[in-house]
Amino acid sequence: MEGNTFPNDFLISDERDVEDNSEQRLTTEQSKSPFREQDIYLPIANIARIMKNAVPANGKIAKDAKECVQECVSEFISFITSEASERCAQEKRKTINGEDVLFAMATLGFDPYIEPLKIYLQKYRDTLKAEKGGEVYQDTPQHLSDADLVDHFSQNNFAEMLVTTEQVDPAFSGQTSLEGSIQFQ
Amino acid sequence: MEIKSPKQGSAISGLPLSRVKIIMKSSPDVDHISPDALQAMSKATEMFVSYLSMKAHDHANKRSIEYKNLADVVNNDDVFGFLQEVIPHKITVREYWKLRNSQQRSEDESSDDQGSGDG
Repeated sequence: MEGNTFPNDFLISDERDVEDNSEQRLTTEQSKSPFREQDIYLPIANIARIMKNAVPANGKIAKDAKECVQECVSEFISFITSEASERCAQEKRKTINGEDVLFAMATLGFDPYIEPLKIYLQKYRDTLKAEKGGEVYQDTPQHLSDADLVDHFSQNNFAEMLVTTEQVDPAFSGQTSLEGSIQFQ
Repeated sequence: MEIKSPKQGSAISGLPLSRVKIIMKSSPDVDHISPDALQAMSKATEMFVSYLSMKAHDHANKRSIEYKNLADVVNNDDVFGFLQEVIPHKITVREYWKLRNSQQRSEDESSDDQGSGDG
C-alpha cells in the first residue's frame, strides 16, 4: 500500500533480548507479530537523555516511564503530522513544510512551541545558507546555541528544557541533497 | 576545529532525523517532507519530551518519575488529550474485578427492569 511501505532494513526484528534491549523497539515486542506502524519508536537512549536533562540532576526515571514516553513521542509525531498533512492536502501541495508543522502545532494547542521553533528554523536556514556560501566553521557555531532560545523560553519555563548542544552541521543532517528544498517564506 | 562526527542524522537536534521521518511517513497521505518540516518536528519533539518530563517530575514529589506520574500529567492536561489512550491510569486486578462486577450488576438490573423475554 503506497505511503505505508518501509525499507526492509528497518523491519529487522531483533529477536534476541527484546525485553531488556529497548533500543531495539522498532517492531512489536514479539517479532512474530505483524509489523505495526505505530510501533516505530525513537531510540530510548536519546529520549532518556532529554528526559534526564529536563529534571534536576539527581532525578531518576523508571524504565517503564522511559518506554512510555517513547510511545508518547511516536504518538505526538503522528498527531502533528496528520494535522500538517491535512493542511498540505487542502492547499493541494505534496510536500509538508515547516509552516505546516508550525500551523499544526498551533491548531493542536502547542502554541508556546511556535515562537521558539520559528527562531530555531530561522537559524537552521541561516546555517544552511552559510554552508552553501562556502563558509567553514572554525569554532563551535555559537549562533545556533540554545542561549537565545533559552531566553525566549524563560517566560514559559522552558528555559531548563533546552539543553541540546549539538552543533550545527547540515552536511550531516541526513539529507543528502537539498532538493525538495527549504522554502523560505 | 570542532565539527563533531555525528551519529547519522542527529546533527542539529538530538534525535535521529531518519527515524523521525519514518514515523512521520507512517501517517496516511504523507508524500514528501521538507527538511524544514523534519527539523521543526524533531525539535518540537525534544521540547515535548522535556515538557512532559518536567511536569511528571512535579508529580513525582522528588521520587523517581514513574508511569503513574506520566498518566497523571496526561489525564490532567487538555493539551495531552491525544495521549489519554496511550497512558491510561492503571488499576489493580482487584479494582478491575470490582468494576466489572458492579457493571455486571447494573446490566442485570436493567435487563430485569425490561422484563426481557429473551431469557
